[in-house]
Amino acid sequence: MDEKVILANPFKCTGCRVCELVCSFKHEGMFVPSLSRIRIVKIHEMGFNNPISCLDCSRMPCVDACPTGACQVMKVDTALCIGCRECIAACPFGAMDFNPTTRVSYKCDLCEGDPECVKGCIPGALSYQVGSNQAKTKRRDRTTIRYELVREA
Amino acid sequence: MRQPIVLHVDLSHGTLRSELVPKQVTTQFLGGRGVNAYYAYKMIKPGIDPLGPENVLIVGPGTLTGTTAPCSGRTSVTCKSPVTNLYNKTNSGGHWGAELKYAGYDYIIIAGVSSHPVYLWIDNGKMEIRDAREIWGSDIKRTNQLIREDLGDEEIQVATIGPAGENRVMCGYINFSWHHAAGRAGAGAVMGSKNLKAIAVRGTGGIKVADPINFINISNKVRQELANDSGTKTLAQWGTSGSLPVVNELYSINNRNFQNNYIEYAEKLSGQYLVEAGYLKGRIACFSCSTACHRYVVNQNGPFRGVNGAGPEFEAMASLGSATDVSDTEAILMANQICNQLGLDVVSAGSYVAWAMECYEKGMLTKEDSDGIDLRWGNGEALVQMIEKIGRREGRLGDLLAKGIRRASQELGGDSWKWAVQAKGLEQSCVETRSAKGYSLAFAVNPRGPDHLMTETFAEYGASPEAVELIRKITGDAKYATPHLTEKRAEIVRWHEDTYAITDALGFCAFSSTAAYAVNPENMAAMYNAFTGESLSTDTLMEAGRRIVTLERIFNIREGARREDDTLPWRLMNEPVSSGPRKGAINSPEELNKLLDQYYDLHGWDRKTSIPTHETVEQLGLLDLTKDQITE
Repeated sequence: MDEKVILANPFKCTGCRVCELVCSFKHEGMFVPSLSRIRIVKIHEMGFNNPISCLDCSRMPCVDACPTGACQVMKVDTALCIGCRECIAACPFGAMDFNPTTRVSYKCDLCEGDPECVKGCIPGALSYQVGSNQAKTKRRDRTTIRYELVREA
Repeated sequence: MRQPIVLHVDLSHGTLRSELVPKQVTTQFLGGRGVNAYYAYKMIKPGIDPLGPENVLIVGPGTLTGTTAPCSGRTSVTCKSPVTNLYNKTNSGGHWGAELKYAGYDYIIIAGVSSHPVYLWIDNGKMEIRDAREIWGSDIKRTNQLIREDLGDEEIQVATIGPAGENRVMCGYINFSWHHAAGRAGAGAVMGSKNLKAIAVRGTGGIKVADPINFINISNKVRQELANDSGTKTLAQWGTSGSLPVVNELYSINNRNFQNNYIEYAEKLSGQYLVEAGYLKGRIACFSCSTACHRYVVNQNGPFRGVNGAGPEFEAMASLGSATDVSDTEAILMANQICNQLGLDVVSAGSYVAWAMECYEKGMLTKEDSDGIDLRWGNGEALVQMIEKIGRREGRLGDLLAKGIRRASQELGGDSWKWAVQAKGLEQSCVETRSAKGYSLAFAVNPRGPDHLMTETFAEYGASPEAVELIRKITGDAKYATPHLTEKRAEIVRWHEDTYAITDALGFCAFSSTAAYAVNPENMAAMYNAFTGESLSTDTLMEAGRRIVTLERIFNIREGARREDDTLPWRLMNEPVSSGPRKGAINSPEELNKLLDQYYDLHGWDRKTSIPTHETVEQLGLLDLTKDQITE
């Protein structure tokens, strides 16, 4: 079965960082973007913003790399985490990160299936849906563009 | 919520120290613009040289900056202006203010002058004054890159001046986090005079809230209300210049240095055209703002190719475009980009060129003065070349204009002072005040000079049901929601003054509180209370706004400003509107005097001098702070 995941469309992201605010508030009880499970990477020279969070990979390098079993699907068991940061080394996207105060790793937990970041994203850059929906939407968008081109020709 | 911390920087002695902002100060002045005003009043002695070591530059994000309060990412910059020799508050969006909060600070006060170029580096509670000799002279973009390379961290936020601020150009601005600026009245020149190139900040800490659940619920609710506002939707879609064609249809556009008020090519200067012609590549949001009215534009074609950066706002389109009669969008995009890279306030930079073009038309300036540049109206290439010369202070005319048009017209002589559309020394923003009477009063009493970002009375146009309702609430009757009346303007201005002051104090964007109305005083009070754990009424909050406005007035009184300084540019008071349904409209001295009488009476300020009366000062709790200062 295809699971729902947080999907990001960087072309719609304006870089307001509300996602970082609501995420850190939910998980840390305060506004602390540096500990948000979703982060906006900004290429200022291009006016480009890219939201990055856990992509819920089918084969999870972070889980495979964890020596203690702390790093699990959409969860880090803080009682088991030894703070070795192997998960951060293994994640290809930089979606795993490390809390320097508690000295354990953290990752997106999808807010028990109701992600705050998606609810807070008014520009609509973030969505919470099954991966195959994304493909469907992309096929539709692509078709629209082609149709416009054919009609103009 | 912790008590705010202020960082004192003395560049003459190279010292840094931090202290808590006293509780009484935050109670009286809230934060941001308000607390800045308090320190400016305390620390800037009357009569000092704005470009000397005694001036201080105060930088303060709002109380709620760094939280989910919608559109609360703004930072106020306060100093004595070298343009007006009076109070200056100027304000920027962006992401810098929130970063300062996360680094553990709330205000930075910079005094003295460094012996050589330096920049300030604040890294989570560690502070350092660093050598900037290698960076000095770099444009805004390069400075951002060099500082990130120097410190090895991509997520640093930088506030910086460009070559214009270094050269003490009177419209030199301070850029915040690449795409935003505290533009008006020469704050960048003040920073340049201190040999301070930039303030780099990195913060990874957090902000705690007194009543978290309540706070997040209110701010989420207001965010949704704001998103549903029709004005906000237009702003997100088309940006601020989306309204330019409408303003033109009201015959209220600044064309040829306020000689005309209508243009035939308005659509070329509109936010809609940026989209249609394919210049728009993205939208840029300030911190915690879901609207994202700022534009990102690219142009790689034609003689003005090589544009890649923050797009022109309404004021840039009007000041660089219609004011100079330049209809070539690509020339405006390039002129705007040069302003952004050299660090020039677009409002004043465009006004300088428009004034020079009028002087050229009337034979007061020739090609000999301008190094051969043909300053005829509408010449886009001349605009682009002249902007570059102003920012770099090149050539005789570039240097003359860099002094601001009041001083430039005094030097040039003749009738050129009549075409200098300025009051208090500051160039008027591109708003037609002759046919909008609330605006005219707000501009005349504005402590920094005639523009719309201390107090703008947008609601008087009655352009939306919300605006009409607001005017009804303020005046008791919806019939006053028309800008052509002089009645009730004082009441309308004062409501907007109070609201602007608390908007700036808490860090909100004026678009969200006085153009859209979701961030209204009630909602601001609710968010402030949930954040601080206090229980201020809306009235108490508005009174704090009035206290800020009054202290700003007293600052100027102490500098010697009086009623006669509350004026408008000569042209608007002596030359009537030339066309359209409001043809003949004027800001006559009689009319302005009537408005000022109403306004001073309402405030409890003396009619003759504009000095706040003893009772008013006492009532607002400003007696202790100001008692030894005002004599007359």
